[in-house]
Amino acid sequence: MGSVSQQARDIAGGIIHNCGYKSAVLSGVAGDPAHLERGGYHCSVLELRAHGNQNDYSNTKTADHDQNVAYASAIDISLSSSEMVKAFGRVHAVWLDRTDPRRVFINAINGWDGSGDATRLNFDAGTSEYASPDHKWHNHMEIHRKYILDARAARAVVSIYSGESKTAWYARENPPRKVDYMTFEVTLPALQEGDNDDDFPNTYRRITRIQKLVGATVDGDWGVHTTAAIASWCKVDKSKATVMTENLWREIFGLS
Amino acid sequence: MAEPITGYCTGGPLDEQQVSVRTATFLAVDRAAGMSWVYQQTGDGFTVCTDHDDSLIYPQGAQTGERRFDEGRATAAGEASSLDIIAVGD
Repeated sequence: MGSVSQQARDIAGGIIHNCGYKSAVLSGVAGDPAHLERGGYHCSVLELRAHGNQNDYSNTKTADHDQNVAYASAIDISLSSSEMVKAFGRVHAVWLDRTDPRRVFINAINGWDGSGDATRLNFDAGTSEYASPDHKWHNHMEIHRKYILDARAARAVVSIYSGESKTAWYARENPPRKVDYMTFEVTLPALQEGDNDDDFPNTYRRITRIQKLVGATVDGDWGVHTTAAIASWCKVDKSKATVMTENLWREIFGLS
Repeated sequence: MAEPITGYCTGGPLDEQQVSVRTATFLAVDRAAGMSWVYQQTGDGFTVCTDHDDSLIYPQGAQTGERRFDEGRATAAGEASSLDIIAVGD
């Protein structure tokens, strides 16, 4: 049986307990004998190979091929009929939005919108397809094998099922770098380590090292491009960056 | 994935409902109520099991088939994909 990663458990636990589904129950991760015969993301790559399914659809894309070979990479979560519809609405919204960054982690999700056949939402192809009727009572999600050990991917899948917007998720995953101002001030002395005089080569070197640190054009000339890069790097407004750069300037030239 | 088996249920929360499942024995789980039921394939359909069966969940009502839902054990079974589980309730 393929291994179940902690990240797969995190996805299941997150959806069951933190996304507002009272009925949610885990109903499958690792492949059973039927899965092994037919392949798919419930099987590990090692199991696919052992059963002659190494060219299975779940092991051909770049984001899947021979990656994290010991692990199952699909999760089944059963939901009541009303919560199947609720989950489908949330997943469908992400599937519709080609710009949603959470899409990259997912191959496809099968679910049900409450009427007609169950549906397979293919995230890579952007297509909506038929799914077998057992997907009227359970969500089947296929995580690209590359990401089945990736905590960020796990958070993204849970985020989708919680109904969180892409904007809220992105902001949560990329908080303002509050620490960077301190990091910058801590880094500065290190940049100047070994510089015991103020001759031109050392000044040039100090400026270029700061420019490299903050991602500015490295030209050795202090200017608005360096100030702007410092503001961006430290996530502070320009006025604060100006004060910071003045201080840096004094330090670079040994001014008091 | 095995081809689904489709049939009508007798007894329990899925009484008279048609289901398509992949395993001849499956669970119905009402997580909010902490209850579960075992269904077994009988002929063309599925019948709620009223026998005691402590292999996955604890027996509680032999006459009704209601059993206390043990999430920890059910999660372990779910990871192994050993039984289909249909969620019931709201």
